[in-house]
Amino acid sequence: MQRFKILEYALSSLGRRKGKHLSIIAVYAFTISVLASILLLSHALREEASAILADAPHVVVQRISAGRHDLISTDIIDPVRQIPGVGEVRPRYWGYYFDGITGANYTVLGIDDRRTVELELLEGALPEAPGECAVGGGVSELREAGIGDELVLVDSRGVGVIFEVVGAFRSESNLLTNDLVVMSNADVIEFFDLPQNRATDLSVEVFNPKEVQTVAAKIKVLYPDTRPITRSEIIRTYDAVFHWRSGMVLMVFFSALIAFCILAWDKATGISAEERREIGILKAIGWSTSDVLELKFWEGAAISVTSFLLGLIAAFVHVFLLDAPALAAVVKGWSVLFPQFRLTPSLNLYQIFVMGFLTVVPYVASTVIPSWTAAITDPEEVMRA
Amino acid sequence: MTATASTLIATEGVTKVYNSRRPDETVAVAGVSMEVGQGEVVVLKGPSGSGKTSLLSLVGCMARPTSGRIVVDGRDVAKLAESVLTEVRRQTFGFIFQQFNLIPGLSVIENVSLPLVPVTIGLADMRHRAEGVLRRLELGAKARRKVRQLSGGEQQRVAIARALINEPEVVVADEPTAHLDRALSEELLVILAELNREGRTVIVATHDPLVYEHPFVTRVLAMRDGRIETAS
Amino acid sequence: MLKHRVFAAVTLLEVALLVVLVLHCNARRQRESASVIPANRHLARQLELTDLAIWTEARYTRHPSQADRFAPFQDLPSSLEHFPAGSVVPPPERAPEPGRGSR
Repeated sequence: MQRFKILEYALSSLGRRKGKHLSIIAVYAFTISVLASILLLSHALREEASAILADAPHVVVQRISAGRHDLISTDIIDPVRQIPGVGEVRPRYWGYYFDGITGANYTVLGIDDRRTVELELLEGALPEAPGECAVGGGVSELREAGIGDELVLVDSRGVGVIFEVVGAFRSESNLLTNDLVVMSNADVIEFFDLPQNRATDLSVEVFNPKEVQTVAAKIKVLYPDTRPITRSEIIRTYDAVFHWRSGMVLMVFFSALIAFCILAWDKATGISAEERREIGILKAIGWSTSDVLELKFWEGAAISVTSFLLGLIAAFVHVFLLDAPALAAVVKGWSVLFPQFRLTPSLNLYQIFVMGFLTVVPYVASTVIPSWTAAITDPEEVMRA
Repeated sequence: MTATASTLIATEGVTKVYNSRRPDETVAVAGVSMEVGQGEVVVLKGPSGSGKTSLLSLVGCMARPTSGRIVVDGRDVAKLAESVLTEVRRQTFGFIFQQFNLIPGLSVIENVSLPLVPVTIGLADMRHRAEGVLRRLELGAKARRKVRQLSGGEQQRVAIARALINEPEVVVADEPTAHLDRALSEELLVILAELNREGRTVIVATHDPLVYEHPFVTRVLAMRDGRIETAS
Repeated sequence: MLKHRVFAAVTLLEVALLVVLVLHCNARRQRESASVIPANRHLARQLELTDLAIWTEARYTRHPSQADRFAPFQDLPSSLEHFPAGSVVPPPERAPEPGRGSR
C-alpha cells in the first residue's frame, strides 16, 4: 500500500513537469527503438541467411592470382572429382554487370541449360535457349522488364545484346535474387568473352558433410593457387556481418548509445536546487531516506520502463510490419538496387533483455544517485542550502 | 539537570556549529540547556541570528547537534539511527516553517497528505484524514486548488494542516507571523491556542511581540548569540 | 482516476501489445519456415548461390563470402573505404589452412 502511494506521488511529481518528461520519454523511446530495430533486423537477417544458405555449395573453389580472384581452369575439374568423397564438380560462370543507364550493378549468373528445375519462387521458366534470361525483382522493376519483355545489356565488346525475359523471380526471393540476371552458361561465356576452358569458379559436391574440410584441404594441397571456400565459411560470413558486436550493428548501436549516455549524464550531474529543497521538505515532514530514494526510483523507473516498452514496440512495428524502411535507407549505402527487408521475424530474447538492462538500469541509477546526498542529509541542512 | 515528570523535551549543553573548521564557521547554538514540559507553550525570542531557528530545528529533530544531548520523551535523539529519528520526527512533531515550504505544483490536499504517503495507511484513509484537517481549518472547499492559487494566509493554514495530519504531540512553528498581516497573525494565534487547549505542546521561534506577549504563552526564552539569556 | 492505476493500465497495455506483436511474429515465422524459407533454400541450392543480394555497390559487398582481400584495396592499397557498405561488411573468416596456423 505504501508503495502505491509513493508511486502515486512519483507520478504526480513527474506530471508537474509534463512537457519536460514527455520529451524525455520521446527521445529515450526513439533511441531505444533505433537500438532495438538494429538488433531485431540483424538477428533476423542472420537467422535468415543461415536458413536459406544452408544448402549453398559444399565447396567453392576460386583461383587466386596476385592476391586477386582470377578465372579458374576447367581442366582441374576431373582431378578434383577423383578426390575421395567428392561428387559432382561443376564450373560456375558468373560476373558483374554495371548498367550505365541506371547506375546499378547486376550479378549475371550462368546455369546449365540442360537441367530442368522446378522453382516455386520463379514465375515463368529458367532460360533454356540462347538469348533467354530470368531476372530478379530489382532488375525487373528498374528496367521495367517483365516476362515477355526484352532486356538489352552491353557486352564486353560494347555491343548491345538483346535478351528475352522468360522468367522473373518472385518478391519472396528478393534477398537472394534481387539483382540477378540468369542466363545459360554459354550466354555468359559469350557475353563476357570468357577464355576457353576458364570458369569463374567451381562448385564441388562432397558426399559426407563432415569431410568438407578435409576435401577443401586436399584441393588446396593439389592446387596451391586456389582458395576453397566451404559452406560453413559462407554462413559464418553472414554471422559476422550481422553479429551485434560488429560492423553495421555496432555502428548504429554505438551512436545510439552515445545519445543515450548524454541523456543520462545530464541527469546524473546533479539535481537542481528546487529538487534538493523538495527532498528537504519531504524529510522534514517525516519521510525517511529510503522513502525518498524509493520515490526517485519510481520516477526513474516510470520513465525508463515506459520508454523501453514504447521503443521496443516501435522497433517491432518498424522491422517486422513495415520492413524496416528507415534502417534500410541507412544500411543501403550506395546500392542502387536494394531488396526490401521482408524478413521472417526472429527474436533473440537475450539481446532484448540485455538492452533493457543497459537502458533502464542506468537511467534509474542516474535518477536515484544524484538525490542520494540530499536524501541522507539532515533536512534542516538541505533546506538551508 | 533533573527532568520533571511532565518534561517532554530536554536539551543538555547542546551546541550546533555550521561549516565546522572552515573560514565561515558559525556557532549557531552554544551550549543550551532547556526543558519543555508537556502542554506548555514555549517561545524562543530573539533577533535574527540569535540561534532560535537552529535551536528549534534541533529540538524538532530536523538536525543533529554537534555536541550535547537532546532527550525527547525519554530518548536521546542525537544517538538514534536515521530511520528511528524519522519516525520520532513524524510521530511527535508537526513543523510549521517560516517559508511554508509547500510544494507549489501540488494541490492543497496533496500537500497536506504528503506526511502520510510513506505511512502504512490506505489511500482512502489518507484522503479522509486530510479532508478532516482541512475542514477544521476552513479550507475544505479549496482542497483541490493548487497551493500557488491561495493567499498568504490560506497557504499558512495549509502548512498548519500538513503539520497536524500526523496528530503530533508537539507543534513547532518558526516565525509563523513573518509573512502575515496583523489580522491574519491574530487568527493564527487563535489556532495555536486551540491546539494547545487540545493538549498539544507548542514551541515557537519569533521576534514578533504579538506572539511572545500573547496570554497563551507559558514561557519565553530570550536568546542572543546562540545562548539563552533570560527565561520568563 | 488515480495516477498509479492509469500508469499500471498503460504499462499493461504496452506489455500486452508487445505480447501480441511477438505472437504475431511467431505465427508468421512458423508459416514462413514451412513455406518461404524452404523455397528460398531450394532456390539457393539449384542456382548454387553463395550470398545474399543486399549490397550491390561493390563486388566484395555483393559477395562478401567470396571476396578476395584485394578487392577493397583495388584502387589504392592505402585507400580509405569509399563504399558505405564496405564499412559494415567485415572480411570473411577463413578456416585455418592445414600446417600454416590461422589465416
